[in-house]
Amino acid sequence: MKSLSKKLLIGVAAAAVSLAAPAATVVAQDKPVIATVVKISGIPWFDRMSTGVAAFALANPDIDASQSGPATADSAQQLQIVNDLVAKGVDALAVVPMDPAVLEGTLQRAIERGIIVVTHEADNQTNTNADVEAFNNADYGTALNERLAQCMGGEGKWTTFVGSLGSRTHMQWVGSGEENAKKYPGMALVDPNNESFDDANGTYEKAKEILRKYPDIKGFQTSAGNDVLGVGRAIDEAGLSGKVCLVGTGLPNPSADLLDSGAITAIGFWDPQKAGMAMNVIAKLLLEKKELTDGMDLGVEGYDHVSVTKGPGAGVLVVGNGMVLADKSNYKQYLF
Amino acid sequence: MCVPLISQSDAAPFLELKRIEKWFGGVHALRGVDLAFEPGQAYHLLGENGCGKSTVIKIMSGAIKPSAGTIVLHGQRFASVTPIQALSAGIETVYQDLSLLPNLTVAENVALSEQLVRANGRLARLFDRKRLRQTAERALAAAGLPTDRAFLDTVVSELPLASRQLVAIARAIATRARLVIMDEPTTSLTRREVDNLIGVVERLRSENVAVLFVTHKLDECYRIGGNAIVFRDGECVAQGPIQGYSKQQLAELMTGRSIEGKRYRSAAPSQQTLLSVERLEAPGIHQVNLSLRKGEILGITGLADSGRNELAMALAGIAPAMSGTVTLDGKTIHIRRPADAIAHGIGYIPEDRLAEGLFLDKSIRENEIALIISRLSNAFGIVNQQEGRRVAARLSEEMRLNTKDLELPVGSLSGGNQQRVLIGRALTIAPKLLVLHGPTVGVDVGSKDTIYRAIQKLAEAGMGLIIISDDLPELLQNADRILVMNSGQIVAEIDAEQASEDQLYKAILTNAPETAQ
Amino acid sequence: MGKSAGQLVMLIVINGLLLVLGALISGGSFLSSYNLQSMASQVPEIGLLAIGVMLAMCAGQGGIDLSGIALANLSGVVSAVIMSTFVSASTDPSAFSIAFIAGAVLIGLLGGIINGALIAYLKITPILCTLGTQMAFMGLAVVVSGGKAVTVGSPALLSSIGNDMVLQVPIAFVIFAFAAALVAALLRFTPYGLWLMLMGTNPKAALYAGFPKNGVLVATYAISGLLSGVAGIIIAARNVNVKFDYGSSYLLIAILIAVMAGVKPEGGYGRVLSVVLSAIALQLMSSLLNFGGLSNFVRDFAWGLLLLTFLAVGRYRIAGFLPSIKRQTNPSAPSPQGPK
Repeated sequence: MKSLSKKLLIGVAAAAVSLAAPAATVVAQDKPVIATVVKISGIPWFDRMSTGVAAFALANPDIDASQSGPATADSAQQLQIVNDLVAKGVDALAVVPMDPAVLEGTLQRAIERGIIVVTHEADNQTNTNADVEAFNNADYGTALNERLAQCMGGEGKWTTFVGSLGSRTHMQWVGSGEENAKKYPGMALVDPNNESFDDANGTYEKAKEILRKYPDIKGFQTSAGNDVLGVGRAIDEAGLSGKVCLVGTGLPNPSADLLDSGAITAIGFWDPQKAGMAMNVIAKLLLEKKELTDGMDLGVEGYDHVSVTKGPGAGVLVVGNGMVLADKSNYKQYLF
Repeated sequence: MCVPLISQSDAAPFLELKRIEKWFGGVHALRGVDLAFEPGQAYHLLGENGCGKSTVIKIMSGAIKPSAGTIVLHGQRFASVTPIQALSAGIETVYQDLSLLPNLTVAENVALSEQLVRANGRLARLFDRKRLRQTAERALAAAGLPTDRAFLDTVVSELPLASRQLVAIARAIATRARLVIMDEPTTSLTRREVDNLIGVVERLRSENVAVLFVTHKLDECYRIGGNAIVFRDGECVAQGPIQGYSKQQLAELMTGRSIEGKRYRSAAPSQQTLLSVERLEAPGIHQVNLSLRKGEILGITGLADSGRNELAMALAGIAPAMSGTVTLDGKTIHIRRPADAIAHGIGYIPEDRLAEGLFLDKSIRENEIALIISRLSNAFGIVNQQEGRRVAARLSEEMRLNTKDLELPVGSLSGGNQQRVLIGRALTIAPKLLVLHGPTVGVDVGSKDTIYRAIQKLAEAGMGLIIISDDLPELLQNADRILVMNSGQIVAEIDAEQASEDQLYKAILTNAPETAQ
Repeated sequence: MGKSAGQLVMLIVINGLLLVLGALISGGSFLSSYNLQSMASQVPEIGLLAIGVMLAMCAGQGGIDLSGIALANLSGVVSAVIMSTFVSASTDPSAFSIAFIAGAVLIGLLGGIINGALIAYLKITPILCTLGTQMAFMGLAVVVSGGKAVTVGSPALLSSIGNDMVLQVPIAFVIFAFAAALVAALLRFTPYGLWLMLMGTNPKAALYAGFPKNGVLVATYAISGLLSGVAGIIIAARNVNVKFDYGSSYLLIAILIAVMAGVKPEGGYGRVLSVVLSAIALQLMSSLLNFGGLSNFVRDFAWGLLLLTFLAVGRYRIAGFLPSIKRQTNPSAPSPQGPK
């Protein structure tokens, strides 16, 4: 029995070592390290962002750039990863916070430790050197809503979906959407701010519920990347494609079928690949002690003329012009 | 050790047990048993509770595996058999709890085994209802039960106990068994039903079916005839035609001691009243009155559902009484929970030491101080571990446990030692009244002796003791008086010194109302 | 008992191995004081919750506490909201800190008592009860916070709990170790401890022996709630903000830690030291994998592997040491239920 337990122990150790072996090479280098940490790994949105990080790494062989993220949509898990990277002593962090407030403490420690911090989708983050936004969030939310209103003919019941009540950017989008809808007295908002937690299936179930509850509902404005898929599926199944309007943030490829069937009216997005590249470019600039100036060109599509203003903390807010609204007619131009 | 009975007839034994041993943890339940069963013979397995009878039956029917030894079924040797193998070989058991499926009908219960056995344990295909009925009718007729449609379709849980017993036997008949084992089959049967059963047994024997009875009712064994197999402490101590033994001899073989003359009780109780119970009412007991003097040992007995268990639990606070008065040492007390009983100085040794008394994985020491945990702690709430160890050591010494290492888990001790731990534990609260529920069930003879002596010493020191037991010799040897309960009431009071076991036995049974059909 | 010594040794060995492995793949920076301190300050939140789960499990009869993190969040949120209406964090930092700490501890205790009362007196199964209270606590936190993060701020005392060291050890970890030691002492030296473990082994025998079962149950969940409250304080101190849905993954991780520490889910056995070492081991493994830049999914896989290994080895060891116990609890043992 004892020999068996010894064997098992050795087995576990061996497995752990073999897992760690490829990683061993990564750490033993002198290149500056920019670590990108996303909200959650393994969903299409951040898979697309990782292509941007990879492209950056390829174009900048003198920098070690990589992406990681938690397996679950839990800010505590993302916090752990950031903590460990700070402890490991990376040179720069590019973070897409699950919840900016939760990371404040650790980002402050990172900055104190001399680590450059760049964030994305967190324009209220105080402890950051620069927060990158693809566009002005209020403008984007308004644009989504305007497209929705167009489809609805300015009349009817509509509702909104967000990733979670803590998702800063999502709340901004639906917030300015609501403001925009006030222009149309015929539009009535019901059950706003449904939380999806980025779970396409959960969103689908919730949408079915809403369709049942309000059989005469005419519009949905969604926020998280998977929401538009879940709601679209529900609309499709209910046979309401083309009769109910759906506008939300989403990627072209995953949304293709639903766009074609008319379940999704239009998707809004920015290319996470470009955003990822932009974050890393800014991180690199800051590592090289260069300044971020208003109107500068980052060398990344959609960020060729960024506005740089003061952020809520000591850092800056960098806003690009990367908003895209696509529908059935033109989504094929975008291949992701 | 007895030699298996092989008769002169040609019929070879179809079932043999050779050197069967069984260990349950530290308990040597069967110590090398050799048995042989021939077709058409009747066998009576006799012995006290805990002697290994149930274990050997479970091994024969495949419910448990032996630790060592061989089972020979129709000439084939096995280290152990599965229940289906046993059933296929024609070994049917009617357990004491009948093992009927209460939500199914009579016909289904009777014929289900047969279908299972034929399909070797699988019920894959569609149920053959017609065949079910035919099988059921045949078997029920052989068992002397009605065979009309209404009866066949009656759900078993609606039948009275006596009918259910016969249905269980009918099930055994349905599978064309070779050996039918019956565990205490006549406990709730009226005289008429017992006669009927004996008739069924005769019919089985004439069809060359062997029958094995496990019972305490020696009179019925003599009526049926056949062979007696006597077990004691996990061994077979005697085998032979039952006519060759007198009841006295059988009793002595079973208990290992002679009944007559060996009375443990010698001192006389004092005149002071210790306990007075008036008009006690609880589920299962009605208007019970009893009294106990200091230094007196009171025995209480009766059939399983007589209310004796409920009385014990009421006194111990586990199933408190709804009304009535209990006076202990002059003070009226209310026992609403076990903690109350303990606080008032009533100690209780539970019936099922494994499930209700001991913490098997925990050490002997922890078990022994379990009742006085709060008493051992000081003002700051810290338990005095030193004192705890001292108390445990002293107790183990007094109860003569056969181990010095008190950190061993109590589950590793033998049944007798475990019981002694429980008794010792009860003494830690310095009880005035000690209620012992089945104190020597499953306990070896040596431990019994120790326990009886301990009980007597306690009584001599002025403690009042109540022993609830169905071990009649135990009560006759240890008690001053014995109360007999039936249907929740006390129906007889017997002077233990004068009475005989027969008298006591009659008292338990005669007051049983005729069970209705 | 040989069993617990064996588990302890195994946990210490695993921890040692992980430290060595970390050093190997990081060229030593894994063992830098900054990283050790960083890891040490990540353990307390989950470690405190794991101890709570351990206590609930030890009580037996399906004991478990699923409401730990929800209660921790609730404690932080409610305490922050209430205390900031009376005291301001910026003008009176120490008073605010003390008030916040007191409030969080009180709420944790109350939540725990509610759990204990529901389980002891209404006899609700622990898993169902704490599932319900978990949702109730989270719901209440959403209402009180309006669904947003509540800023606690960094008043002096709280900030030092979150960031400072004493003798090079993060204060949060010291608090955790202290709480663990207190619970361990409680289990070892007080009647409560004895009653708890015996009750978990055999609830029926505990009843017959007159144990104050309800009192023990309420105390158990109350302590678990208290630990949750402390966890809430540490979360607030480190993250500056508290939120109703923080750490949703902690629920299962806490149970994982307890099981890996050899706590018997059916009750009757558990050792605080093992839980602490188990929490540290899981933290080390997690940080190790983050250092190595490996995906979070690998971490879940590695934890699963570690748990299975631990359970498998544990079974063999138990069988090796104590064959008698395993079979003594066999229902077909010659119990005094023979023919009557």
